[in-house]
Amino acid sequence: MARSALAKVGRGGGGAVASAVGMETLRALHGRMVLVRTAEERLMARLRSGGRWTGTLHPSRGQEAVSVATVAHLTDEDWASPTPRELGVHLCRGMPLAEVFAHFAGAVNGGALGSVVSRTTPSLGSTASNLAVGAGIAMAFKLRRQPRVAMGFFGDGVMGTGTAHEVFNLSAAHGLPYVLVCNNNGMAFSQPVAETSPVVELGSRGEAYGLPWKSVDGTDVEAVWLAAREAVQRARDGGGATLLECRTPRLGGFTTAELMEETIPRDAVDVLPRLEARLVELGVARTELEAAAARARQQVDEAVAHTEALPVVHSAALRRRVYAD
Amino acid sequence: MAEPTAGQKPYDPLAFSSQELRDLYWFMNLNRLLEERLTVLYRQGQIVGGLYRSLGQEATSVGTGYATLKQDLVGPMIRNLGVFMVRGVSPQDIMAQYMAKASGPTMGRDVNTHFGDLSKGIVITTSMLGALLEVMVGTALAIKLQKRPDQVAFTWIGDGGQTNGYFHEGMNLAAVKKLPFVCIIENNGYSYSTPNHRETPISQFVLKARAYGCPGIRFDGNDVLEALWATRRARAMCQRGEGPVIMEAVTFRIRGHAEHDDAGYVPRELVERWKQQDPLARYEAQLDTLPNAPTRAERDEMRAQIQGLLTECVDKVLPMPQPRGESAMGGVYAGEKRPAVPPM
Ligand SMILES: Cc1ncc(C[n+]2csc(CCOP(=O)(O)OP(=O)(O)O)c2C)c(N)n1
Ligand SMILES: Cc1ncc(C[n+]2csc(CCOP(=O)(O)OP(=O)(O)O)c2C)c(N)n1
Ligand SMILES: [Mg+2]
Repeated sequence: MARSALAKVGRGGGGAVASAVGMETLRALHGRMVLVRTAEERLMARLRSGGRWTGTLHPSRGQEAVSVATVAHLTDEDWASPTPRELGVHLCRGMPLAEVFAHFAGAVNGGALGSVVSRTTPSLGSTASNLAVGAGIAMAFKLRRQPRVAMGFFGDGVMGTGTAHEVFNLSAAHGLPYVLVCNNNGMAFSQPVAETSPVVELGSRGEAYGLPWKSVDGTDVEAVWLAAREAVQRARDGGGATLLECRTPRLGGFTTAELMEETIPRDAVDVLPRLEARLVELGVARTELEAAAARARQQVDEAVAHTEALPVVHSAALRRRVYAD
Repeated sequence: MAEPTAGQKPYDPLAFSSQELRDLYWFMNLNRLLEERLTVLYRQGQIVGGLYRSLGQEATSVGTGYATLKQDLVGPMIRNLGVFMVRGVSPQDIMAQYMAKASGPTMGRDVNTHFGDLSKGIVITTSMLGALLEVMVGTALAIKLQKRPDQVAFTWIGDGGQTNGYFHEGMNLAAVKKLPFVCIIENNGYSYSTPNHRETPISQFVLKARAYGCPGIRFDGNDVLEALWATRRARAMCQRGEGPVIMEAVTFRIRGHAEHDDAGYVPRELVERWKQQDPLARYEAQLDTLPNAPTRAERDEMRAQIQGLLTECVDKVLPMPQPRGESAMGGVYAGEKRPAVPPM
């Protein structure tokens, strides 16, 4: 799909096929992806060095486009339900970096990943459950006749769960304004996808539910952005839910606690250098990309410094954010 | 909403033996006439709990059940009376179950067809929709692990039941492990009061096979010969290692969910259309054209025999006692074949 969509736009300068995404958007997506990667790299280093940094990160290295290029189509009124591997969803939806870090550093202002402000539901530990939460939100939008969209994320390992089946069926039967984003990184913990799915193209399972579906290369930012645009538009126009599979490599391992280095593919395409090569091909100067990286480093430095200056949470504060008050 | 299927038949009606034609006739009539007796007993207040009829669906139960072999393991649904009887359960046992008699298969501890009998390859019927499928996938896994190439596991599930997450987890495992497992989705148009189109936007439940990359077979569930032929095909696929297989029986529930339900939510014209597809009437017409079929006189004779048998059953089971309360703790743990306190 991405190829033909690109072809229609014609050729830009230097013989490169112009981006159907548009240069401004592509630059913005790049900036966010660099920020997500830089933040995760720092988190990774901090978490593995111990001290007050005690949380567990599910790195999205190599998979950042799935978090960044999808929610780019959501408005402030929409909601997203990411897994722990979509830190970028929280960030792109406006959760401050310092708050994200506080979550991992036991700081007094730390809490769940996800907030009412960013309109992201907590990245829940129990896999598949966030998908059902997102379906509930989509159901609410539908019942209230609001032109809003919910976007739920899940891994290849969740494809075979009963929750996914019930969510797919409900979303299709009720025509929910829901975009179901499957981040197929080929692995569920230590299990390769061939051991959890009887079909290779996970998106095609949408056919069993009457869900429109698409399967795209998740290392192709433009393809992810275009497919997500179509799905969000369908949902907003009352056309119901879409199943969108993004195929990615798990370049950052499983979690900081269990890296599983032996499962990291050696020769996989890395989405970030790929995007940068594309931007250069489209005429963006290398210095501009370097400037984006420097900006991200600075933001991360500031957020880390801010977080580490905060006291560690004490037991009396544990009830915070538990009850409605 | 599924409409009656019509047109060219995929099988050769001349390929069935006269014994097979007779057996199918016997069991379809036994299924229907037993339910008619149970309905009378229900009205008399003799049945404990509900009565879940399969009027209009007998060809599916009997045809699919008849395709299973002795060594196979099955997990039928509550409505699959025909499967139970094809596999050797007596109408007397069914009556005793429905009336919660101490002499019944569960000794009055459970009712209707909620029982299993491993000597007949019937693993169990459970009430929780979808849970049964997982039990039967486990059975298929055992068959595979024990390397028994002559065995296949079968289960039946409704158009409503397949929306349950258990269905998916079971089917997914069966497909990943390529198990010798046949799942028959009995699409009877309704899941209690919910019509097909409110359950799913897909028009055919056989499309569920696409989620599992496995073969799917859709058949006319009101044609007993097609049900038999299609299920034999599915069984053969499993034996060749091509399983699991998802089948869809296109049929219709003529009565309500159970006898307490007047099914006022089902459009009358729809029921009338499906009544024209009565599986017993259609089979009678088919038998009239087949050279090796029982004659009309022989068929009349078989029906009379069934009625006689059922009258005997009613007379025998009605006066039987229900279990005594003190016996409730008996037969709960393994090794106790019968309750410690005699049930009657
Ligand atoms: C209900 C549930 N079962 C098991 C786990 C343990 N667990 C955590 S992550 C994971 C694998 C998830 O794989 P996938 O859905 O492909 O997501 P990925 O980690 O690849 O992003 C498992 C099994 C869990 N968190 N929740
Ligand atoms: C898990 C579960 N949910 C709900 C019920 C209640 N229930 C019993 S039968 C039924 C409808 C079943 O419809 P379908 O699967 O189409 O089978 P049919 O009755 O049409 O043969 C429902 C909702 C149940 N038994 N189990
Ligand atoms: Mg039904």
